[in-house]
Amino acid sequence: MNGEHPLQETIGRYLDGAATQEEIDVLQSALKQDARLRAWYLQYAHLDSALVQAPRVEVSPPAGRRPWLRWAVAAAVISASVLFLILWNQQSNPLPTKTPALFATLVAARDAQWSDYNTESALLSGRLPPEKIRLVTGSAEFLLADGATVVLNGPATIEVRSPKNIYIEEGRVFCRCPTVESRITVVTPATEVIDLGTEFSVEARPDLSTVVAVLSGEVQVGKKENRVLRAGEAVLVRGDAMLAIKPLDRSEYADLLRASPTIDESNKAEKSLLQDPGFEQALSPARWSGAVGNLQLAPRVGRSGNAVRIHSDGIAHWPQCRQEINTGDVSGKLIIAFAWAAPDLVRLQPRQQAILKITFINAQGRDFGFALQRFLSTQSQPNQYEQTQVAAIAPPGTQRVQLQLMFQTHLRETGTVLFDDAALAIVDPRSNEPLQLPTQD
Amino acid sequence: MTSSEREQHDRFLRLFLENEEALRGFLRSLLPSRQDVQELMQEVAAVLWRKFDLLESPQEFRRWAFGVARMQTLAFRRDRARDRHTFDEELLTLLASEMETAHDLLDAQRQALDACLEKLPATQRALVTAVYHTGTKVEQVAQLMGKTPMALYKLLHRIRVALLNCVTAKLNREGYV
Repeated sequence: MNGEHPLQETIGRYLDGAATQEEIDVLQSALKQDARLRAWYLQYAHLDSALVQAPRVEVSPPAGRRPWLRWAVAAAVISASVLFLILWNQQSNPLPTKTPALFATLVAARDAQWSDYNTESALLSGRLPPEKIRLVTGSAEFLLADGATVVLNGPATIEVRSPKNIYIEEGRVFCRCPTVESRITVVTPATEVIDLGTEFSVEARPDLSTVVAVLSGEVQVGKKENRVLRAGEAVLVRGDAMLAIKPLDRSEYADLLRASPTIDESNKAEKSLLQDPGFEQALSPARWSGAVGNLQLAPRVGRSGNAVRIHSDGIAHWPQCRQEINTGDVSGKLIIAFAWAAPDLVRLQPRQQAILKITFINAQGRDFGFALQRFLSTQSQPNQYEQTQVAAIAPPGTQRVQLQLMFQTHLRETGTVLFDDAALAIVDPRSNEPLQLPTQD
Repeated sequence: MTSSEREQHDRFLRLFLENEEALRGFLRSLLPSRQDVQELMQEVAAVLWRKFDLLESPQEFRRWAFGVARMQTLAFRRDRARDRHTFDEELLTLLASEMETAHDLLDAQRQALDACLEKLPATQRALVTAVYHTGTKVEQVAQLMGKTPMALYKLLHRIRVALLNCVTAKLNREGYV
């Protein structure tokens, strides 16, 4: 259609769900009579649909140990807003193409009450206020941009000054820095703690003293004079003096350790239902199954250790690796799956993609529902892993869940994809309640 | 699941994925809410799988799927969207039948879109990302931008028209239309 039709804007509003009934009546009548307007409408509606699938700027979780469950639980609520706000805050600058520079993101909270509504609303929207924030009660977990995890137990007041620097005015904070890149410095009124690859707790007390306790690894404590504190040691610092170094009493830190589902070591077995999620053992039908000719254990090319290589020989039908879990009745529960994948050695061809899929199976063994997510494309770099997730509510009658890692290809096309670090978890949607975004009036 | 069931499921999945975007576009043309489209896509996928045995030839999948989607949309409208602002059945049926013949052009349009998106100014691209990829409500976006929702709807519309014009020009150059 050449030139603007007076009803084009109404079409836009109709598809945005913002048209009034009167506008819809006028549009409907015009569409029935005007074939050219109908053709334009169909193209416009299709474009609207295609925009949902169009390439976008991704927020990539940092490498290293994967706080995948927290990402999963928080993702539906937080990451969407995070993505938008990051983009919007940078609107006057060129758009980021990779990980945006946001210092930290709230990824989980439990009974958390913040000092004021603005703080809470900013955090739940994925923003980090550029000043001190105060957690009154409950616990909250942040993921820093470089991969460190910081868990607060209220009451606590902190300021994230950069992805590598946190100021704790008051309260106890647990930090985990899983990789060299994620190491951070924690500053308190009394001292400074430089992480040397570890898990540690820093407590800034109202009397301006600080207690530092190392659960694993080492930290360097002190501003002018400093010393290295090792796993199992704790120190009280006041002024710039280290008043006492004593063995760590782990029971003192039980509350902090419990604050995060991934930090609680005893909880580990519940994190993923999969057997051998990282493909560290030989492939076996007891764990992973699939057509033997298309699957191969790929030593030392995984994200850490091995991976599985799924190969299409141009004949095989939908090559895949799968595992079926007997979950019992999980009707109504949120099923979340994660996986990482990378093209193996060479880029993918057009229309080739990796797929993460969960299938719901009833007591009779019939699969009656599925959810899937496609990822990787011709743009994906060989051997650089990308992550995806899929989440769905298990339909009534679900007794088993199957996770499939698939390579979408076409007949007569060959190619290979590496998969690693799959995960499958069941979450009760009700447990997400503290993470709900505030609704708009 | 037996191996033959699994093969059948894989066959279905392959066809479904190949046609998923077209199917989503088909539903979008019939429903004024992206959320309803998402919901109905799941229902349509379930019905297609349930009736997959009835499909005579894989080449017929898209036409068959569009037919199922059309019936599901009309049922959806009758059952759940009665009080929502949607077109009547007569217009929906007309649109659906025209779409079934226009799908080649619409496929080409989808493929041309990526290049046109690249040409959008960064702020407009950010807005598209916010509304289409994060699902942030237009009202929320408007509040953050300090604009009225109506002003934002107009801006979104202008962006979509610009994209559509770009896509059409590209397809013209390539001899599609």
